Amino acid sequence: MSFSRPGPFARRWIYAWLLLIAPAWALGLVADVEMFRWAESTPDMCQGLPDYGAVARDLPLRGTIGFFSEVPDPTNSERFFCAQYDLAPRVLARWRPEVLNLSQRQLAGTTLLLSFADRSAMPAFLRDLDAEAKRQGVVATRRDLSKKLTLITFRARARG
Amino acid sequence: MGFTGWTTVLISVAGCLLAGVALRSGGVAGWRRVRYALGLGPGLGLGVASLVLFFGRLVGLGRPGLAELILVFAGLSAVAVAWSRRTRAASGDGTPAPVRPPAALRAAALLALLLGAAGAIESYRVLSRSWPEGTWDAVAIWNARARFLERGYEDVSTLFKQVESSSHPHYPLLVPGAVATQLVIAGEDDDWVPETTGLAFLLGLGLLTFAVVADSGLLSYAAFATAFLLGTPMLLKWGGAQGGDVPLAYFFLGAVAALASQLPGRLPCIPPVLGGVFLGLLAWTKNEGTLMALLLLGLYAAWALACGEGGWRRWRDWQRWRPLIGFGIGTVPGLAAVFLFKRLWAPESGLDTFLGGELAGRILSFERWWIPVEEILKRMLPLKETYGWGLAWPALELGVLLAAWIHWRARRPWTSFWGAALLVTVLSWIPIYVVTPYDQRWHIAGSLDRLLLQIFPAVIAGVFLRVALAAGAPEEEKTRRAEPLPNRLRTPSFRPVLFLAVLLGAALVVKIAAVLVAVPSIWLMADEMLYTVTAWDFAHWGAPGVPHPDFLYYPPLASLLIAPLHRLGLAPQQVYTLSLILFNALLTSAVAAAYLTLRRLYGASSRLLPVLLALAAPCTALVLMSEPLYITMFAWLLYVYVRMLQDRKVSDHLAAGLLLAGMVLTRQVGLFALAAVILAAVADLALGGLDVEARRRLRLYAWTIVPPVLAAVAWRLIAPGLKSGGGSNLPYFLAVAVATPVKLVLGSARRLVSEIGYVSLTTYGFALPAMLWGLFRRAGNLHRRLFSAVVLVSLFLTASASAVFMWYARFHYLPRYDLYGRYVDYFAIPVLVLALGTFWEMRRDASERERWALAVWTLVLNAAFLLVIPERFFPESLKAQIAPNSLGLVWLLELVRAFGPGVRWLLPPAAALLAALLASPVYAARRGVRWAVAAGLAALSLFNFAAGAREVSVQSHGSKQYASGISDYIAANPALFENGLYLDYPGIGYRRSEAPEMAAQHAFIYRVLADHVDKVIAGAEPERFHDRMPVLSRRPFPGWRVLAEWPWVQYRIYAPATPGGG
Repeated sequence: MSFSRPGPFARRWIYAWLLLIAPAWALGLVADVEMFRWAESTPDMCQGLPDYGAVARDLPLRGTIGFFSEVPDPTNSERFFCAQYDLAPRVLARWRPEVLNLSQRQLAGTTLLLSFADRSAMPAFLRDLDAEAKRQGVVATRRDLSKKLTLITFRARARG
Repeated sequence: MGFTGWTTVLISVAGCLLAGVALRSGGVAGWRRVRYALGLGPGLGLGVASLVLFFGRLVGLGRPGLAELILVFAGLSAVAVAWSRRTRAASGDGTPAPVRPPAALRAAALLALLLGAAGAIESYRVLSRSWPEGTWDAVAIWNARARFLERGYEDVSTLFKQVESSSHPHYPLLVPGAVATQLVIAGEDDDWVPETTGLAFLLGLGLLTFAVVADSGLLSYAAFATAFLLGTPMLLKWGGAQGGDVPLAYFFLGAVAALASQLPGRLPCIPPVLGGVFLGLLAWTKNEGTLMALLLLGLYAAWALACGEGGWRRWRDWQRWRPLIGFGIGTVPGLAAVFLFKRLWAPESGLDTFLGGELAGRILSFERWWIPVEEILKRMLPLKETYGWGLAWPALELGVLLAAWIHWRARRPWTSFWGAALLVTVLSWIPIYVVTPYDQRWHIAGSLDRLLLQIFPAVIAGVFLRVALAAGAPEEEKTRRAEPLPNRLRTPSFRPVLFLAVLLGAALVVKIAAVLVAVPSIWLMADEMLYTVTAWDFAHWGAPGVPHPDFLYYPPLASLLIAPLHRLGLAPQQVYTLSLILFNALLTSAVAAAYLTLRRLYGASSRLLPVLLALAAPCTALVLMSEPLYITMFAWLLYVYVRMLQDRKVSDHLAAGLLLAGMVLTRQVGLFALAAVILAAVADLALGGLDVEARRRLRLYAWTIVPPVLAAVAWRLIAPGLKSGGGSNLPYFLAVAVATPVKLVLGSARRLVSEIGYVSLTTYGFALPAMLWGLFRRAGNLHRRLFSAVVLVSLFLTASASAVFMWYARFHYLPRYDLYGRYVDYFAIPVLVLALGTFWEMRRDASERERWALAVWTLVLNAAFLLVIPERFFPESLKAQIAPNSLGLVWLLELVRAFGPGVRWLLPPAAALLAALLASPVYAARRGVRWAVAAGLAALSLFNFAAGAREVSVQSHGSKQYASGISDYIAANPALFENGLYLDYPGIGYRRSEAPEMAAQHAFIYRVLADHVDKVIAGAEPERFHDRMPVLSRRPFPGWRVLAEWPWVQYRIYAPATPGGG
């Protein structure tokens, strides 16, 4: 009776181990099935979001695009990354609601993509934006790209 | 839109062909080559495709089309063919035919493989349908950057610098690059490519696992391993995620297998250059891959040197470095890509984030080191939650134990390398989690499982390969056997005195550092105050000057040792620190005593033994108590006692007598040791007969017994003279003696048994079996039997006394298990070191049956002890009090804290496994195992120490919450305590909420003393404190008068609210 060299005794222990891990493996399979059920009921990662890809042609290819959504982080992240994914290779920068400080931002030359799930929340934001643009002497051009997406470009007011 | 996944198939096939050619150059032939080519091909192809895109972009070439890619693969194959012609002579496969498993097992393996593979493919289909773009990380990081690479081809280098940091623009580009290359080739941009790429890595991982395990010659075990891998929920979840973790796991397995195959004992399977390519691709996959690759290379270099012919001495032989050079050459493309990418494209390396902020503060936090360990352990022992792993890890851990056990004598460097590679990788995560700037638990929760997934296939492959080799090895095969006990261990090749001096000196330095660093403030416990006041009295008045009965329970030796320090006029905090250092020095000498004892008993001489002993003796003297002194003398008594029995010299007997006298004058429990020696002496004399020799022995024993008896009597005579109306402890013990049987009759016998069980569990549960076995197996040796009797009687008496005391106390004023730790510590350290020595002795000539019997015995004994302990003890102990700083208990309670009370049932098997390991032939034959055990014990010892220090080094007084409150207050108000600190500690044996009368008394004391101090400070004549105390309390608190009259210490009193009101 020794493990010191291979033989029937050691082999019996190995078979016992294989037998022992069989339930562990079977439990894993059961967990797999549960995971499949869960996965089948999970919505697509970017499903239900506006079709960013379709509006890509309206966005400038170069230069960072500010991305703003009324949904606070971290839930907003999903929308942001889906936007970045669809609009690649455009570089998006998040305008986070909690750190948005319009008066500190240089609006001239900025491109801003608004993604509002709740359109009723947008007018208040646009009012603030317009007021700040006026204060900075910047002209804001607004275009609704889709039902949920709005593109705003700011350019300096022509002198004279 | 067509099926663009054909690009993945094409590149994988190209990779298989390239791998096949490369394997041929390494001498791998037949089906083995086919298996490895299929396993290595997908990753190799996709990796090369990614590198082609990156370097092509870097040197300004256009997009890599299909033609360019084919050209690259053809060129690489041509190089490999050329190499093959030069090295063909090395080919050949001389593996003996393995013993095939039964047909039923083979059929089951085939079935499991089919089931696992079908399940994996189906799961991938379901997950891909649910996440067409992949999971969160795939969208945010991997596939988004693949699109950047493909669509922003011209200015991708500048684009990456602008991408937001949460997209991890510093991650290497293997996966995005492979996907982007395929998108370019396909000319379409759809979801098929990342999906089929992910599937290629998942299936490639299965094929590679199969190929590695199939090296054993047993395809059924390879099938089991693959099925096990593909049936793990965590792998399937992340396999369908289109992320970088499964590819990393794939390259890690390939790299480990390649490195291990170049070590002695394995047939080369993956040529070094190809293995190096996998190491490079490992680094090119994710940031942690670079760390993994460098660690693996470093480990391989160490193993190749240590295990190769000639060992370390022949390190100049460049032939030994050839595989390493090959690995190095292979890594160049991958590592160069990582370097250039970080330097030219990425906004930062990825390290900057981790190394910024309050780095030093994060590193110096013990908590931050413990949390990752705790989280890893939770996954390894899934008692409360499986974290999506099912029972995969426990099953593999059993396999690891089995793999370690079988063929223990054979030296297999590849096995130890494989294990070390996994261990080092896991350990490398801990410092990363420590320095992380994110919320640590959040970071761990989001990444640890994926890190474990990265090594998971390598664990499976290593375990199954090892087990399969053992199962298939023919019976006739004689593996290379190590010496059961190398002679150099029997004959010391060093100077024991010098070695011991260096070792103990180093241990002492560590302990002194601990004292200086870890003791937050002085006199945290009232008991410390008692010793201090008594010492001060001895120094200034020559005798204890405070008449209080509590003092009389404390014999004077510890205070006498401290008294000269007070006599020197040092400040109290200096005396305190120096006293701790003194006691630690004494305690450290106990290791030498234990070593000498074992050497006397067993003749053991080695470097490792004293190291073990030094590590096993924890740094307990972090509070000013007499226990360290007592333990030290007890350990030396055992040594002198053995000498006494063997040599029968007057000097030894006298030394034993003096030590016993010292013990009696240190702790009252020393009387038990005296009783044990007297009993053993009676037995010795009775067995020896009444002849001339017996009379001589009687005279000798007088030298041993008279000094402690005189000391005890003298102290009892002196002590009453110091009383002033106080009581003695006799009524107390009488109360115990009377109350105990009454309580027993009243039906709480089980509780009493549980007390004994608890005491036993903490120390004797592990040590006792070894003690009994080691001490009594040669029953013919009378000396040994007597020695055993002394030890066991002492243990029994101490355990019984402490159990009865605790049992009594919980019905009166001590509703918890407060003082166990201290009682257990009286004997814990000597017992443990002796137990270790016994296990050491077992290396020599114990039969395998005896070893197994010991493990079983340990298992049963621990389980029995656990059965009698109330379940509520463990959680309530955590809630209500500071964990006793006793051996074993701290870490047990910490485990309970981490995993819940259920974890305590792991103690019996764990203790049994440890017993089996220490007593096993593995331990005897393998130096690495011995040092691993030493390292494990060191970790345990340090943990005990750190946990004790973290809990303010208070053994068991008061609640944890209360002590933490005090500690916080001290930290927040350092100015108040700059001259010292005295805290009245309501946790001495009671809590306010449980003893209202005591609470009232203490409230009064605080008020009176505060007034008193105010008057002293104001220069007014204070009211005499003791004039009022007896009226209100029958047990005035000791030392107030002395405290108040010390002119050179300004005391501040802090009386925080106790938890639970009162």
